[in-house]
Parts: sequence; C-alpha cells; structure tokens
Amino acid sequence: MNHDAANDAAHQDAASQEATNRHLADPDVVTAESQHGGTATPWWAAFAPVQAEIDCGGAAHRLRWQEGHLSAPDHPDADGELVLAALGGGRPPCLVLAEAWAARAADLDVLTLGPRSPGDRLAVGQELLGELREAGQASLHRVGRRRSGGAGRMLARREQILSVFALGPAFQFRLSATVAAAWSDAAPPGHDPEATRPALVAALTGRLAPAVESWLRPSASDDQASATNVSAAHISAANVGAANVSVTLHEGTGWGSIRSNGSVADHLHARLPLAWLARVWAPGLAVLARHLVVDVLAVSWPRARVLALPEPGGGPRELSIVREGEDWAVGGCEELV
Amino acid sequence: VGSEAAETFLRVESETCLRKAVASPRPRWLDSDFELGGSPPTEDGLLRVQAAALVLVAVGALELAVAHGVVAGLAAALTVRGQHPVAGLLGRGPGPAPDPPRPVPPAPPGTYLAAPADLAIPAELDGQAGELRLYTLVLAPDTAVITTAHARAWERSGDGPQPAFPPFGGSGATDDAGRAYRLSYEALAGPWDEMGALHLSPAPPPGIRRLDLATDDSQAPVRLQVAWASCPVTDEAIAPLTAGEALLNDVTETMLGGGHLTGIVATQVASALPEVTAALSATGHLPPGSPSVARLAALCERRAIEVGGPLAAQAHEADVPESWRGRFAASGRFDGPVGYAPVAAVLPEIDGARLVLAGLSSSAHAATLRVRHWGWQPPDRSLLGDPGRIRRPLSWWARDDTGRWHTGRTRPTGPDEGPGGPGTGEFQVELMPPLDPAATSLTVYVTGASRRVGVTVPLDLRTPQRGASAQ
Repeated sequence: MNHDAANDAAHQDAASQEATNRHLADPDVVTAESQHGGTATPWWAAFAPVQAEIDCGGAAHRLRWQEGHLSAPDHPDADGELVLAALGGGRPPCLVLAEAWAARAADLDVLTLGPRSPGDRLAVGQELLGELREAGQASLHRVGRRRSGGAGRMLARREQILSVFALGPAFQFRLSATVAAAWSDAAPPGHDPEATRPALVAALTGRLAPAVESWLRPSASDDQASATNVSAAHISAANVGAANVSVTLHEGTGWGSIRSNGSVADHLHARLPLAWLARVWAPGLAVLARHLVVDVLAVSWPRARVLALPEPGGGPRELSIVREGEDWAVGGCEELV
Repeated sequence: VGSEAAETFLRVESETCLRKAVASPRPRWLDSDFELGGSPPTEDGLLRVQAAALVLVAVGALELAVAHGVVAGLAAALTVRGQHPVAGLLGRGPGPAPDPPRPVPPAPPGTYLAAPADLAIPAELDGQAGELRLYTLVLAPDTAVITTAHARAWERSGDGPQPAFPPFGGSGATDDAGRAYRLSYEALAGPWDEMGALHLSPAPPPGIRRLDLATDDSQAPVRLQVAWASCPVTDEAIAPLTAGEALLNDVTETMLGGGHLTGIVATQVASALPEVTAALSATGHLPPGSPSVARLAALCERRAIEVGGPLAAQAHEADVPESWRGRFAASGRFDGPVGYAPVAAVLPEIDGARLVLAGLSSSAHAATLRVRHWGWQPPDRSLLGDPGRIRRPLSWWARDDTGRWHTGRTRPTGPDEGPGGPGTGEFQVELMPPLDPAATSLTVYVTGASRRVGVTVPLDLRTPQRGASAQ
C-alpha cells in the first residue's frame, strides 16, 4: 500500500469533513447544559456533526454522525432494505457501514487500533481493506473449515472497524469516543469489568501520554521564560517523558488528579475517568493554550467551558474556549463563564 | 501481584512501543525484487514486547492467551499504521495451549548408590564390529541399572565374529549370593553412539559384591565387581531466587553455553532486557538491585547486545562470579582429551530430586556426563512449553582441578518418562568448554531453588580402542 497516498487521502477526508462540520454546525443545536439540566454535558457535546459521502450502488450517499449516532439519511427505510437484502438482494454499502458502526460501538479493539493523537494518522483505506480480505481468506483456507470460526469472526470484526476508519480521522475519533463512552459508567452487558480494566488503563495511557508530552514540551518561547507566564515548575516538569506517565482509572466523583512525584518531575501520576477519552481527548480538547484539559463543563457549539490544569500538581482553572476553523482557541465564550 | 498487574504492564508497554514506532523515522524497505515496497520489517519494539510477554507467561504472571492477545493487538495497531505486514490484522491465536507438565512425584526415599562398572564387551551392531561399554551400576530404592554405550570400531580388532548386540544371553545375571536377575535393555537417544540402559530386575540389595552377566552362550560370563563409590560431596543452602531471577539466570547460562533455553529465546529475552526487567519488577518477580539483572547486562555488553540506560551502569558494576569469568577465559578451547570414564557418584538430594552421575565421555569439543534421575524432569526449552515454569530448571556447572570452569547444558536421552515412571530416567549434561587435558578430577555443581550441591569425581579417562569413538 502507498502510505503517503493513504495519508493524503486521509487529510482530504478530514478537510472535507471539517467543511461539512461548518455547514452542519448550528449554534442553536447543542446546548448541553440546557439539555441536561446543567448536571453534566453528554460525552458528544464537544463534537461537531460530521458527514461523509460514499459510493452506494453508484450514487453518492451521505453518512451522518450527530449527537453520538451514525445515520444513513439516504436510506429512510433501512429496515425494509435489510429485509430485502436478507431475501437475496445486496446490502447497500451505507447500511453495511451503519451496521459496522453499531456492531463495534463497544468494541475495545477500536481503541487498540484507533488513533492515539491528532498527529497519529492511520494508513487505512480501501487498499488495506482489500489486502486484509485477501490475506484473511487465504488464512481461513489454510486453517480449514473446522477451525476457522474464531479466525473468521476476528476477520469480520477487523473489517468492520477498518471500514469505518476508512471514512477518515473524524470518524475514527468519533468511533473511539463512542467506545470509550460505552465503557465509562459501567462495563457493557456481558463483559467482566475486572478483566477489561488493563485494556481500559492502556487505552487511557496511550492517549494521555502524547497529550502530556505536548502539554509539558518546552516551547521556543520558554527559552525566554521571563517574557512568558510559564512557571519554573512548568519548565522543570518538561522533563517528563511520555513513557513516564502512569494512569489509574478514576471511578469517583470529580475529574480525578494529576501530580508529579516531587521536585524532580520525572514521573507523572494521573487518575482520570475513562470518560476523559470521550469528552475531552476525542474532540481534540486535550491540550489548549499550554493547559491540560481534564473535563468539559458546558458546551454551546461552537463555544465551551472546560476545566484545565496549567501545570502538574496545581489546581484546575476554568477556560472559555471557542472553535475556530479546525482548532479550539481560548476566549470568546463570556456567556458561558 | 496478580495477573491484572502483568496485563496492565504489558498493555502500557505496548502503548509506549507504538508511540515510539509512530514517532521514529522509518526507512523505506526493499522487496524481494529490490524495489521499494514489500512487507515492512518487523518493528523492533514488537519483539521487545513479545519478550516481555514471554517472561511474564514463563514466571506464571500472565496467561498465554492474554499475552498473545496483547502482542497481536500491538501488531494490528502497527499494521494500520503501515508498519507491519497485513497478517498482523488477522490476530492468529497462539495455537493449542501446551499440555500442562505432568506432576513429578518426589524421588523415592532410601539408598542411592553408584559403582563404576568399567567393562567393555565385544559386540557387533548392524554388522559392524565394536564394543559395548558398561559404565556404571546405579542402585536406587526400587531399581537398578547399568549405563551402557556401544562404540563402533571402524577397524575390526582380533579374529572371528563378535556376539550380536546386545551381547547378553537369556540367563540374565547372578550375584555373589546366587540370586538371579533378569536383564532388559533400553535403547536411549544419544548424539553419537548407541546409548542404553541395562535394567536389572529385581533390584539387587545394597550389600551385593559382584554380578556375573551372562553374554553369548559360547562366552564366559562378564564379572562386574561392585565397589560403591564414595565421592566427596558438598551441600549448602543458598538464598532462594525469585522466579524472575531464576529465569534471567537461565537466560545468562544459555548464552554462556549451558542453561535450558533455546539460543534464540535467550537472545530475544536478553535483547529486550530493559523491558523484561521492568515487566518482572512490575509484577513482583524481580527484587530491586537483583544481581541477576546486572550479570545478564554485563554479559549482554560482552556480546554486543546494547542494554543502555541504568542497566549499562549496573553492568559495569556487576559482581561477575568466578565461574563466569573462568568460562569467558576458556572460550574457544578445543583441546579436550578423547576418552571415557566410568564416573560413578551420587549427589545429595536437591529440590526433591536424586541425581546420580553414571558415566562421562570426553572429546576435543566438550565433555558429556550421563545422569540418572528420580523425582525430576528436564524443563521445556521454549519457556512457553512449561507455562509458569512449574519445573524450574537446575543449573549445572563444573570445575576441573586445573581451574577450568564448564557450563552444563542438559539434553534428554529418551522420552520424558522412563520405565520407572514420571520423573525417572536419564539425561545428559554437556560440559563446555572441554576438559583440560591435564585435569585429573572434576567437581560438578548443581544449583536448585534453595540449595547448591556438589560432588568431586576422579577423571581416569579410558582411551577408546583403536578406531572406536570415545562415547
């Protein structure tokens, strides 16, 4: 596979989706606090709606994600079409993708494969999917019909995940958030929470670590510390490498804690809820203006109010932020403060 | 520390590996036609995580299926980033779980004795002349056996035909008190010649003074004078090792030419020493400041395996045992004397096992000890063949009286289970480097979980008959 081409395609996907975001974004659509009585924002509150177009039987059809759900608006009678498909017709690609999304909405494999940071670009496209199907069929043929059950299920599962990922980074982050949200309050039915805790801790660690690295990395302006507001503690904490972040799942009230181990800040201990992935990391809020965002307090798209740490061990402060183009920026949200 | 800590460590380590792989510049690779493209090379970090998974399974901290799932997940994550072949997405399972090792009952209590047999009987095997050597008579509470080997002579010595192999008649053996014994021959697997064990049934009493073994009807019986060996032994308590330390020591000894692992497994573990030590420490299987880590790190540095970081500093300060230094000093020697010796010595009990040295052969490259055993089974070499290292290996070292140190590597000589039941039978210990030509005695040390035993045997090598091999 040509990975450069795949990355280019991913960038194009992202650009087109952001354009769609702007089109779909309506300041009156989502005001999380008003919808939820001011108690908590839903996990999807800081996400803009997103839409992709795919070839569905020769026609350009839309797949739309909004408020935590994926829909296929060009298939208003999806159930009827699926019944027809069961009777021998082909299943429309839109509905196959919608099914894939629903089937994998609580699959931790999504977090195993998915992006760890905005800069972590996946080389997933139709070419990789084709290679996977080819290799999978060859593998199933080798292991034989009697032993192919588990391998076949794994192949189908990975195909579903990658087919959604192939829609582009915006969908990759949203599916990741969906999975994280599904596991945030309690394990989905049929799953043992004890058995899956290591996977959840790793999913959180793998995404917090690059964010911490970005948070504590000295910037060019840090060389002129006197000319900035960066504290001495902040600069010394910049020695913290991403590999030196340990995470435990926070399961109580509040956002958790983040502290370094003493004056020589070479290790960071973070206690965060899994919901941080869905609410903060996935919408691209992890690090803003040299702050690590630990929670989203309120959203009225494109404005939000977040809780953020200026440095390890310090107390969080509230920041008002606003979506500007493809990035979040501090300020412009007075009505939410 | 439970398996959750082990799995969490491994998964977080996988995340670190993935982050490094994504951040590192990746060279373009050439396919088989020397064109850019083809399958990407295996990510180094994946091998390191595999090694950490391997040791966590080996010490019993993690189930094999869980370890495989974590490693397969990392391979899949690398694949979707173009850094692993597409097969990484198929998540093939670890295959059928290895059968758990059969429980090995402790060695039967009672008297264990060994006497040099030191006899050679002419015998033809497959039409080729040679001699059947009787090495050592071993007496255990329930069994008696004479270790044997057939050495082919490529030039026939003497006139006339030889008795067919095995050269024993149907009348068995008789002792000095007129008691009769049945003889049954068990063929063993050996590297060169026909190794075997001649079982006596019933087992003779310890007071036996001689055995007459009937050979071919036309020949006089072979008389074996029984003089039980009484070799000086040592038996000392040692600080117990954790499972992680024992495993790292096994890796080290394998890299030194002894040990119980395959070379590729030992090298993979050593090459990922930072990750492996972190995994064992995180799960409580490696105490802080363990000398096992520093010594393995020191060996890695000698073998051009980079360990880096704090381990490099530990390597420089490692307290390397005298035996290791001696082993280094004698590397590359091929000056061993050619011959064999009816070594007979009983080692003190160790880890519930009884071990009896029952013969030695020496070549220019190595010396080989034959060991009869009760209440012990050689562990699997693959690490994963014996999950949790239920059968912790014994460490074998030897020192001859010239001061040359030798590492011991065990080799099975037959099925896991001898005729005496599970945990009984014979194995070989290959000692490298070879014996010093001037050596006249050899002290063999065996280290177990909490004891170290030793025995010193004379080295009175017999020179093989002209044309016959030393074995």
